Amino acid sequence: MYHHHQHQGKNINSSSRMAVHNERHLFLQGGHGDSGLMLSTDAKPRLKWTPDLHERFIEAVNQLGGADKATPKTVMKLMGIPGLTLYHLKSHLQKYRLSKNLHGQTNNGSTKIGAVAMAGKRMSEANGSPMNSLSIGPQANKGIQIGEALQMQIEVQRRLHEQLEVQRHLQLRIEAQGKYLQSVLEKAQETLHRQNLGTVGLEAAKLQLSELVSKVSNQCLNSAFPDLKDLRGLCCQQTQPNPPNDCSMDSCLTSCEGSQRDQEIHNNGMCLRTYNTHKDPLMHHQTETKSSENKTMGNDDDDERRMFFADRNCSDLSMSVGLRGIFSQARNEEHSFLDVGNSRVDSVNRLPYFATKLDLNVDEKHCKQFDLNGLSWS
Amino acid sequence: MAMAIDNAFEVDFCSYSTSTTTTTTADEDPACTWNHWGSPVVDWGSLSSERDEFQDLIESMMDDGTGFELTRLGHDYETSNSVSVSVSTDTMVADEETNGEDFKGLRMVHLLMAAAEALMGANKSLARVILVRLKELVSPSDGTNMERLAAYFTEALQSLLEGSGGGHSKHLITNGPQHHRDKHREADMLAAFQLLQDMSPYVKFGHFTANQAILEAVTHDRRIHIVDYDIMEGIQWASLMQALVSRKEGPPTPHLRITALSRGSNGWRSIGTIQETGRRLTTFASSIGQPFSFHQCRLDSDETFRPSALKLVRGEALIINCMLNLPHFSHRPPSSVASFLSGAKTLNPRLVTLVEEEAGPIGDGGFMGRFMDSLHHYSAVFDSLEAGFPMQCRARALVERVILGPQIAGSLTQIYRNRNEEESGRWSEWLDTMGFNPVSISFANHCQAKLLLGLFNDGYRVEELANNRVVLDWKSRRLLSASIWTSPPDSDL
Repeated sequence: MYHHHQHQGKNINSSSRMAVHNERHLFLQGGHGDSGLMLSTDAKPRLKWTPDLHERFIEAVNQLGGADKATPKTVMKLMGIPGLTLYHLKSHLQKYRLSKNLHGQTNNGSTKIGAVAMAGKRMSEANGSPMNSLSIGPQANKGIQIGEALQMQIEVQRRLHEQLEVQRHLQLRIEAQGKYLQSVLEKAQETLHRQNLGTVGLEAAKLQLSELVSKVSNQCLNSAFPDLKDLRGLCCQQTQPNPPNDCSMDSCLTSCEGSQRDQEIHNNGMCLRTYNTHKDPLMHHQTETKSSENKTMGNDDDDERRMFFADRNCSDLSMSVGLRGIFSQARNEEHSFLDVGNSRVDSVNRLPYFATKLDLNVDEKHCKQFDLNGLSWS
Repeated sequence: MAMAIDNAFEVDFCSYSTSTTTTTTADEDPACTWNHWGSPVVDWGSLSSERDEFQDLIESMMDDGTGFELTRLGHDYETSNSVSVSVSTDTMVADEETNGEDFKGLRMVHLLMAAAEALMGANKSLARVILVRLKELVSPSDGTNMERLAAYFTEALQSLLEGSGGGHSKHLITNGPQHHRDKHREADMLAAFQLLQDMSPYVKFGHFTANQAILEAVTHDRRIHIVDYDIMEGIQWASLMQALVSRKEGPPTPHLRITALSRGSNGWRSIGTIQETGRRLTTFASSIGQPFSFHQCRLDSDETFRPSALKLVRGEALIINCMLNLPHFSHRPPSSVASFLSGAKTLNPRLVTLVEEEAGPIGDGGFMGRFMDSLHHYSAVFDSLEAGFPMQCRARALVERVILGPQIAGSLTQIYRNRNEEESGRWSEWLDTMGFNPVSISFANHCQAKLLLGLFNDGYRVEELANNRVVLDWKSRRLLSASIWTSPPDSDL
């Protein structure tokens, strides 16, 4: 979870540090200080938005011209409560805005939701539903606020799912396009061969072109590697059910499968973790393939075929995170100018490229949607 | 005539903002008009050597004995005060070394502008001379981005000068007897196309945005009919078919029918004919289990579209797809595009997807404004390719030669042809005035675009300019625009 924080922008880091300092400060003072803020004394810097505080917040926001016009900074200045940080306000304002939008859309009064929220704690325990991560306080008068928060969370989760869907579709589409392009190239190559007048120049030109293409993909690889290393270090700290140590195909498959199940069951929306579980088998598989050429697949010492087999298998798994698209596409595009054996290495190396780039990007996107606290709502 | 040249330099430095990769901020000092172009690093010394270059140029012209007027020109230039530069040739050499590249880029831009200006002023001989000079400085295969870009622009200007109509650069072949040059060309074309796909999001951005919009518009339809203005190899439809096959809502796997518009002369761009594209698409569709049929619709010889030539089936969702961007040939005759889009309107399509190149601010309009804008545009494209793949010079050079060079030529030809007309404007604006209704681009579509760009270099951005229009930017330069429209509801049957 902490890594999640580290990956977010600098602002967030500094504000969370600020919040921690505040909390400690108040704690030393005996908990309340003179700000009237109730900061929880547990490990996480969470501010309790009492109805009173919330009312002052709403006042300030309305004075500034509404939820959309108000900014955390101006609200903070206007409220003038010492100890109230930008960090607190950012998340609260975001929730407030979301709830405003939702209330605009749905006709359900907050009272209905409040009633639901009252029983929410019991419900969430029973169902293990997405409301799991919502921490519902025991105070009854927070009912309405919790209702809003619930709505917001549902909305955010919905968007998150949509983004994941989009990503999966994008992978498949890119893959389809790659396949089609490959068929175009293959047919063209056939015609070229058929009509080949045996000129040396043509062969040389084709060789050059294939080198060009593999160089480009190499380039992708090289630029992707540093990222990959960073993420790798990161994901080592993630909890992995079965870190694949051996380099067998089976372990790759099980870890792929395992991580997919992981994602489905836990559904904590931690995309970073999800993607990293996929990446790990990749890394392992990749390094192992390089080093122990003849071990894994018995007498099959053709790297290329192994990788092809690998990606076939992995693509048979319906990974919701569409690495399969990456595999196939890499294969397809390497196949096109397969004159030289150096493309073999390229295909191995090329695989993580899209994964890396995608992951980092999606990570950012998803994190933006989240509450600054990370996983839980304050 | 001499005054024209002087004025050109004066005017240009004041009104046009930076265009070369070396420029940073503009000084406000009125005496230093040259600095509007150069980075603060460029100093008087190197600028004075710039003047020396021109003096050489002019002297060579004088030696040619090309006429009395030119001699006068040279003389006037030497005494002109349009640039208050203190001539200090001593510092020239040292400075040139340090600011070599900046300086060279600057010089080339000046020369290009001068050539364009001369061309506009119908001063063919001067233009010719300047172009000769430019050709000595630049080469399409080596040097910096700016140099290669200048090479292509030089070539384009050259062909304009010689009035070679279609504006196709000399690289291009005609469908002639040179059989294995054809095949070379085809191999190059394929490789360049694939490289462009890999190195940049230009192709995928337009295709995927359009496809996503199409998917969303036809969720409940059983039959879909797409009329494609410029199908090329049909790459766009591969991913659409895949999406249709795996869609979850609505009737599963609707029947897809694609009508491709074909032109009399398919031109140098296509790899194979439209029929081949049709065959390929059919094969691909059957391989993934997509019901599919393919048709052609011929355009007239002047590339006008006649809606009556289209075969329509009752109950199908009609989609009009118009790709006017890389690598499709961006500069189709406007009359053709206009006929296509207005003809489309009479058919009441469910959706119109339009992807076009985005032009920047034109300044005070006219040929020079658009010329400079085109220079900026392709400079950004070259830069974006370089940023992603700095080491792959040869790959980029191939893409530049096969795809971008001809685009530049086409662009300049079109600019030249329309030089006396008003600003042509965007096709998306035209659609708006024609009465098409905008269709919002969904969250999923935006998401997809952003994810797609995330696969490439950081410098790419998606900008949402209207709720139905997204633009692909490279570092604040807008490059491609995708917009979605539908026919107005009251004209439905």
